Amino acid sequence: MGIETGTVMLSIIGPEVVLVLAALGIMMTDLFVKSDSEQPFLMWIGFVGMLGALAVSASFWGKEAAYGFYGMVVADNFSAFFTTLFLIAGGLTLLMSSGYVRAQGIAAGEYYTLTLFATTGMVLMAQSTDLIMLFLGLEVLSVSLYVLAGMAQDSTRSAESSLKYFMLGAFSTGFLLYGIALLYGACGSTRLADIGSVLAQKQILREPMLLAGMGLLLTGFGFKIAMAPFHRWAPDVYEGAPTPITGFMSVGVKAAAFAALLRVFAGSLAALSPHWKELLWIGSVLTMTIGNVAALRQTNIKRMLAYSSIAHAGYILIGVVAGGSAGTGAVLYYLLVYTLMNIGAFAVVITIEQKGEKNLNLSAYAGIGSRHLALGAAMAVFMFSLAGIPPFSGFMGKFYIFSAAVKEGYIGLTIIAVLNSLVSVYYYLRVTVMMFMQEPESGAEEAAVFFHPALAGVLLIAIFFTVQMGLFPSSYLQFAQDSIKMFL
Amino acid sequence: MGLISLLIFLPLAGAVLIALGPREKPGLLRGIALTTSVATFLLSLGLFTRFVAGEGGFQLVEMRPWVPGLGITYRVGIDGISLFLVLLSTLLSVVAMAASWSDIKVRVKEFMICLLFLETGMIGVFVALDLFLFYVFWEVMLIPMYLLIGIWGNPGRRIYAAVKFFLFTMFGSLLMLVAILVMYFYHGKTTGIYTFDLMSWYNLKLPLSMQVWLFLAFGLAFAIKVPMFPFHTWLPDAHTEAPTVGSVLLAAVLLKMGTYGFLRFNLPLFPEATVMFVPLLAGLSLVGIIYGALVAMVQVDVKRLVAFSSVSHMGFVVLGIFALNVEGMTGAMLQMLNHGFSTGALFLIVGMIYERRHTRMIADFGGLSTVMPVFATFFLIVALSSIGLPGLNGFVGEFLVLLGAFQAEPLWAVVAGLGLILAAVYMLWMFQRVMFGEVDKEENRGLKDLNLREAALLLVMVFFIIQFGVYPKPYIDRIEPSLKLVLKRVEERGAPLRPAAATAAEKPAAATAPQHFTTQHHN
Amino acid sequence: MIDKIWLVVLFPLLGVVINGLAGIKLPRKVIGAIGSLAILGSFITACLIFVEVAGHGSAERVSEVVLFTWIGCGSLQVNAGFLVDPLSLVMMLTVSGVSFIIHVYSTGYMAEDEGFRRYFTYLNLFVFFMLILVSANSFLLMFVGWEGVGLCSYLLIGFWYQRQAPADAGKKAFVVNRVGDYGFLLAMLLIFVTFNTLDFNKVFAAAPQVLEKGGLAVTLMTLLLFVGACGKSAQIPLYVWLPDAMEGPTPVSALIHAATMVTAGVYMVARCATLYSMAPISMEVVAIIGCLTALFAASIGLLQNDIKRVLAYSTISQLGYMFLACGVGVFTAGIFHLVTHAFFKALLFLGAGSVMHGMSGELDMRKMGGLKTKMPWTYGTFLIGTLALAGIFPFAGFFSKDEILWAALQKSPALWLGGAVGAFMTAFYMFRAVFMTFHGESRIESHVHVHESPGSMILPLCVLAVLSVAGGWIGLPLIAGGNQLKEFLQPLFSVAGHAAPAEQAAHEVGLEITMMLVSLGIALSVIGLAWFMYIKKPLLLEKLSARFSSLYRLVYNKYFVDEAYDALIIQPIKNSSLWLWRLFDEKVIDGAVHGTAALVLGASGALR
Repeated sequence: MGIETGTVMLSIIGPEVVLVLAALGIMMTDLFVKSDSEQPFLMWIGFVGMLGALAVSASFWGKEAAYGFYGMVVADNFSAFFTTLFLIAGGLTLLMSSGYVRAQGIAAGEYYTLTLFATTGMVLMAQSTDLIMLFLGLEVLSVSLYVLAGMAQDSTRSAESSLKYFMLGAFSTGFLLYGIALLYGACGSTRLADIGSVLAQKQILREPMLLAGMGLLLTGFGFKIAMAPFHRWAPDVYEGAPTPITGFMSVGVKAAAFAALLRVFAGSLAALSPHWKELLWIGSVLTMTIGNVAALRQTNIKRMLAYSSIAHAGYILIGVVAGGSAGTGAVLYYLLVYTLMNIGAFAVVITIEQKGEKNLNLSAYAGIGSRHLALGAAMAVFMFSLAGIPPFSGFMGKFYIFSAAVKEGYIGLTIIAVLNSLVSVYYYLRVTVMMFMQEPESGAEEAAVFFHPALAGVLLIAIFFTVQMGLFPSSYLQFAQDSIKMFL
Repeated sequence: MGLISLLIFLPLAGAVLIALGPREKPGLLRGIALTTSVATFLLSLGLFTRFVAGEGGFQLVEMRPWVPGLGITYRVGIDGISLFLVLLSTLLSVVAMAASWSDIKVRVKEFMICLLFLETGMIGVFVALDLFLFYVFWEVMLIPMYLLIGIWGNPGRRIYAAVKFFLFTMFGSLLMLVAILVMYFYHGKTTGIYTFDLMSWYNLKLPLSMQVWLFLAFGLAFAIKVPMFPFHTWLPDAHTEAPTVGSVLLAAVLLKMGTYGFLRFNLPLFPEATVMFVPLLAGLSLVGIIYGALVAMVQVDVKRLVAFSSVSHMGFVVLGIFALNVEGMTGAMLQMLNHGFSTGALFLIVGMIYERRHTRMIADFGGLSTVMPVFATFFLIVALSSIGLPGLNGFVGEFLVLLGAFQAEPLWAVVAGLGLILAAVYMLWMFQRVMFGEVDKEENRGLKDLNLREAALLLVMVFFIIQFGVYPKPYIDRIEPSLKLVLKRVEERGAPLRPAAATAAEKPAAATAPQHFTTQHHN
Repeated sequence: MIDKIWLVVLFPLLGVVINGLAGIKLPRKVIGAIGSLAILGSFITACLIFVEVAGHGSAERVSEVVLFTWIGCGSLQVNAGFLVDPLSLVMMLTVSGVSFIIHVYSTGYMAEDEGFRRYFTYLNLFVFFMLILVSANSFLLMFVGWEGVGLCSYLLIGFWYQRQAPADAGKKAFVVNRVGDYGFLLAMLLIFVTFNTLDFNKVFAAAPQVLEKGGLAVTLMTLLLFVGACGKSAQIPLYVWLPDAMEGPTPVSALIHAATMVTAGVYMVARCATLYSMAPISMEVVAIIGCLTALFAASIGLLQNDIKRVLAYSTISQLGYMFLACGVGVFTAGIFHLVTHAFFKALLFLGAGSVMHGMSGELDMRKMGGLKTKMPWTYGTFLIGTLALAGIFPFAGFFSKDEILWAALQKSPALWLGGAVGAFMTAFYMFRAVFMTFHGESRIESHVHVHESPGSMILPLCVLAVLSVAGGWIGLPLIAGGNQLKEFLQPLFSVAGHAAPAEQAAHEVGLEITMMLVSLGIALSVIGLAWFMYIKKPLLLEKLSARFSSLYRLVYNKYFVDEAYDALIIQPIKNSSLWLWRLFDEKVIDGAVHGTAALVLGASGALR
C-alpha cells in the first residue's frame, strides 16, 4: 500500500463533518424549541444530516482509496460500505426514536445529538488506518453511548445500564490501549499498513510481545462485539437502555467493531492469522452457544434480543475465521442484513412497548397477531429471518457465512453453527407462538399499540429489505464483495 | 414465464390478493383462494398433457440466473418422479380449500394465505432442480404448516405439536444444508464450476468416505420428513393437533417430500453409499412398518391411529426405494401417490366427523353407519384402500414394493407382508368401533350425513383410489423411465458393492431361474 | 363366444353399480330382480361358453382372453384377462348357478330387511369377485378376486352390524383370511422370482423345466399357496373364522360360507395341480391337514346345538375332504366333491334358513322338534340334503365322497381311516340335526307361530334338492361306465406328463364296490344310532355326557381353540403394542428429545 501521507484532505472525513455539523445544528435548534410538538423537527435535522453524510460517503464508492490526515484515515469501498451501514442504522434509529423520545420523556436535543456523535465515531472507526485514530473513533462512539444508555431517565435500570456500560467500556478500552502499545512496541508503528509490512518481512511472528498485543487487542474488540466470554455486560445494558438505542447498539456498535476487527486483523495482522483464527474459532463457538442457549429462557424481549445479538456475533465471527473473499464478504453481507432485520424487530418492540418499561415481557405479545395482523406478520418475518429461515435475508446471510466456512474447511464449526441455529429457532418461534397462537390471559389489559408514522416507515423499510435481500441477494453480495477488495 | 413457474407463482399471487382483500368478507377471500387453487390445478394438468411419456429425463425445464455470483440458478423442471407429485399437490390443495370451507371460521384471511403459500412451497420442492432453490422451498414450507398447526389446531397441545414439527424438520434440514455446501464446494473444486445445478452434480464422482457422510446428512433430513422410525414421534402429534386440512396436506404431500428426496438426491448423488446403507434403511423401514402398525392398533384417538398407520405405510415406500430395482421403486412411487389419496381421504373423513362431534376419541363413536350411510360407504372404501385391498390403489403399490423387496432380499418381503395383516387388524377394528354397533351415544343419534360438498370431495378421492387400482398404467408408464435412470446411476457405480444375491436389476431369464433361486437360498 | 367371457363378470358388476348407486330410488322388487337377473346373465353366458368349449376337442379347450395391461412395470407384466378352460368353466357354472338360486331365495328371505338394497349390492359384488377369482388368468388377478370375496364375506357376515357379534365375526373372518392371503402373497413373490411371470399358463408350462421335482422352491411355493387356501377354505389352523361367520344372514352362509367362497382354496390348489404334483411333501401336507380338519371339525359338529353351527362345522369338515382329495392326487374328485357339496350344502343352509324363517329366527335345535308336519317342504328337501351329505346312495355326496375315500385308501390306510371315521360322524351329526329339528316332540316355545316359507324360498330348495340328487351322476365312478366330469377336467391335471399317480392307478372294481357297500352299511347304522339316541332314548345322552364330562366339555367348547388363540396370540400382541407405544415412543424416543430440550433449557437457566 503506497500511501500518500502529505495532505490533510478534509474531504476524506466529509461524512464525519456533515454528521458533526448536523449534531451542532440540533444543539443550536434545541435552544429555541419550546414545546414538545416541535421536537420532531430536531429528529429531521439529524436525519437530513445522515442523508447528507450518506451522499458524501457514496461519492467515495468505486474510486481509488484516498487517504487523509497524513494517512490516518482512508476513504475506500470498505469504509464506504460501513459508513452506509452505520448511516442506515443511525437513520432508522432516529426515525424510530422520534415518537419514543416524546413518550418516554427523554431530552430530545441531547438524545439526537449524541446519536449523531455516536454515528460519527463509528464512521471514523471504519475509516481509520491507524490504531490511534481507531481508538479515537471508538471513544467518540463509546462515550456517546454511555450517556445514551442512561437516558431513559425515570428508569433506575437505565442508570444501572449506563454505569455498567461505562465501567466495562472503560475496562475494555484499557485492554485495547495496552494492546496498541504492545503492538507499537513490537512493530514500531501504529499505522496498520506499516504493521502489516513489518509483519510480512520480519520473522517476529512468535515474539511474545506481538502475540500479547494481538491478544489484548482481540479482547478489546471482543468486549465491543460482545464476544464470549466478554459478553456479560450486553444483556443488562441492552435491557436497560432506551429501546431504540438498544437496537442501535446491537447493530451499529457491533458493525463498527467488526469493521475495525477486519481492518486490523484481516488486514494488517493477516500474517498472524493462524493464531487469532484459533482464538476466534473458540470465541465464535462460545459466543453463539452461550447467546442462543441463554436466550432460550428469557422472558423479557429486549433481553432475549440481547442474547440473540450475542449469538449473531458468534455467527459473524465464523465469517471472520473463514476469511478470504467469501468469508469477509459474508461478514459484511451478514452485518447489513442483520442491521435491517434487527432494527425491524426493535421497531416492533417499540411499537408494543409502553411508557415506563411496560409490555417488554413476552406475555404482552399474546394475541398481537390476531389484533394487529400487519404488526404480527412483520415481527414474524423478522423472527423467521433472525432464525435463518428462507426466503428471508437472515437465511441468505447465514447461508453465505456457512458456505464460506465450508469452503475453507471449517465443517465442524459449521455443524456447531447449524445446531445453534436450531436452538435459536426455538426462542424465535416462541415470539410467533405468543403472537399468533396464544390469547392474552384473561384480565390482562390489552397492550395498546403505539403507532407512529416514522415508526411505520422504519418497519416498512426493514420488511422490504429483509424480504428483498433474501430473495434477490445478488447485488448486495456484489456490494459486499466490492467492499473488501483491498484485503485480497 | 413457463408453465412450471406459473404454477409456483400463481398461488403466491392469490395470497397477495387475499392479503389486500377485506377481512370482513370471508366468503370473498375463500372464493379467491379456491379460484386460485382451482386455476393452479387446471394449469397443472398442462404438465400431464405436455409431458412426453417414456422419457426419463427432465422436461419443461426453465432456467434463469438467480444469484450468479454463487452459481445459484432458478432452475425448475419435472420428470416422471415429480410429475405426479406436483399434480397431487395441486389437486390436494383444491381439496384442502374446499374441505376447510366450513371447518375454519376464525382468521380466514390468514388461513387462506397460509394455504396458498404452502401450495407454492409444495410445488416448488418437487420441481426445483437447483439444490439451493430446493432448500429454500423445503424450508419455506415449514412456516405455513407451522402456522396451520399452531393457530388453527386443536386447543391444548397444538403449540407443542407445531413447535415439535418445526424443530424436528429443521434439525434434519440444517444438516442437509451443510451437506449441500460440502457438495457444492467439492463440485467447484473438482470441476472448476461452482454451481448448485443438480444435473451437473449428477455427473460428479464422490469418494466413498465423503458419500457416506453426505448420504447420512441428506438421509437424516429425509428420514425425519418421511418419517422413518425412530424419527417419527413428531408425526402423531402434528397430525393429531393439526386442523383437518393441515393433516390432509401433511399426510398427502409433505410426507412425500422425504421419500422424494431419497429418490431425487440420495440415490443418484451417492450411489455407492446408497448400496452400503441399504441394510440400514431397509431395516429401519421394516421396523417402521411393523412398529407403526402395532402402535396404531392400540390407539384410542382416530387421528393418532391414522398417523401411526402413516408411519407403517411410509415404511413400505422407503423399503421399495431401497430394494433398488424397478419394481420396488415404481411401487414406492405409486405408494407415495396412493398414500396421498388414501390417508388424505382418511383425514378428511376424520375431519368430517370431528366437525360434527368435536371429538376424535374412538370410544365416543359407535354405530355411525346407521345414521350416516353415505359417509359409511366412503369411509369403508377408503379404509379398504388403506389396507391394500386388490382392485384399489394401495394394492398395486404395495405389491410392487413387496415384489421388489423380495427380489432384493426375500426376508424383507416376509416381514413387510406381516404389516398387511396388521393393517387389516387396526383399520377394521377402528372401523368397527366407529361405524358399527348400536348408536349408543345420544350425541351421535342426530348426526347429519354428508352434504353435497363433502360427498364431492370424497368422491374425488375415491375416484382416484379406484382408478389407480384398476388402471395404473398411465402412471407407471411415465414414472418408470425416470426411475430407471436413477437406478442406472446406482447400478453403474454402486454395483461392485452390492452383495451378489441382491443384483436383481437384470433378472435372469426364466430358463436360468432355478440357479438364481438356489443362490438366494444358499445365502 | 369365448371372447365375450368378460360378460360373465360384467353382469354382476352392473348389478352392483345400478343397485349401489341408483338403488335408493328403486322399489325392493326391482332391486331384487336386478340383483338376480345380473347373476342369471352371468350364468347364461357361462353356459353358452361351456357348450362351445365342450364342443371342442380336449386339446383346444384352453384359451385365454386378455382385456388390458393391468400392471406393467419392469419385468412384471400382468394382463387383466380370463383363462377359459374346463376347470374355470365348471367353477363359473357352479358359482353363478348356485348364486342365482340363492339370489332368488334371498328376495323372499330378506324381503323385510331394512338393508335390502345393501344386501343385494354386496351379494352381487361377491359374485363379481368370485367369478374373477375362478376365471382369472394369473395369480395376481386371482388374488384380486381372492381378497375381494374376503371383503364381501366381511361385509355380509357383518351385515347386521348394529349387533356386536356379527361385526366381530366379520372382522375376524377378514383378518384370519388376511393371514392366509399373506401366504398366498409370498407364494406369488416366490413364483414371480422363479418364473418371471405370474400368468397361469406360462408358469405351468415352464414349471417342468424350471423347477426341480420335489425341490425346495416348488415345495415352498405350494406350501405357501396352501396357507392361503387354509385361510380361505377354513382348514386347520385357520378355520376359526368360519363358525363365527354364521352370524351373517343365512343365504349368505349358504352362498359364501358353504357353496362358493370357501371352496376357493380347493379351486386354487386344483388350479396349481401342476405345481403340487411336483411337490410330494406339499401333497402330503395337504392330505394330512385335509384329513385332520375333516375329522376334527366333524367331532365338534357332534355336539353343537345351533343348527347353523352344525352346518358350519360340517362345511369345514367337507372342505377337509376336498383337500384330502387334492392331497392324494385326485384333483377331479376334489372338484367333483366341491360341486356336489355346493348343491347339497346350499340346500341345507337354505333349509336351515327356512326353518329360522318359520321359527322367527330361532336357531337352537333344543327349542325345535316335530317340525316335519308344519314345514313339509322344508323337511323333505332338508332330508335330501342330509342324505346327500351323509353319503347315502344314490345321492350326490355318495359318489364324490366315496371316490375320495377310495383314492385315500390307495395312498395310505391312515388317511382312509380318518376320512371314514369323519364320514360316520357326519352321518351321525346330520341325522342328529334332522331328528332334533323335525322329529320327536315339539319343544317350541308357545309364542312362536311356525309356518312354511313362501314360494320364492321353497322353489330354490326344490331346485337344489334335485341337483343334490342328480349332481352326483355327472361323476359316476368307473363301475357305472365312466366319469364325465373327470374326462372333462382330467387333461388339465396331467399337464406335461405329470399326471397324479393315484388317478392312473387302475381301479380295482371289485374292491371299490366292497368299500362302497361297507361305508354305506356303516353310515346307515350310524343313522340308526342317532335315531336311537335322540328319538328313542334321549336320556341316554345325559348319562353319557356325565360319564365323559371332561371330554364332553372339551368338544362342546370346540377344544378351546379360540380361547387359546386369544391368550397366545392376540393378547400378547396387544399388550406388547401398548408397551411399545407407552414405553418406546413416549419414553425412549420422545424422552430423548425432551431430555435434550430439558438439558439445553437447563443450561439456559444456568447461564441466565
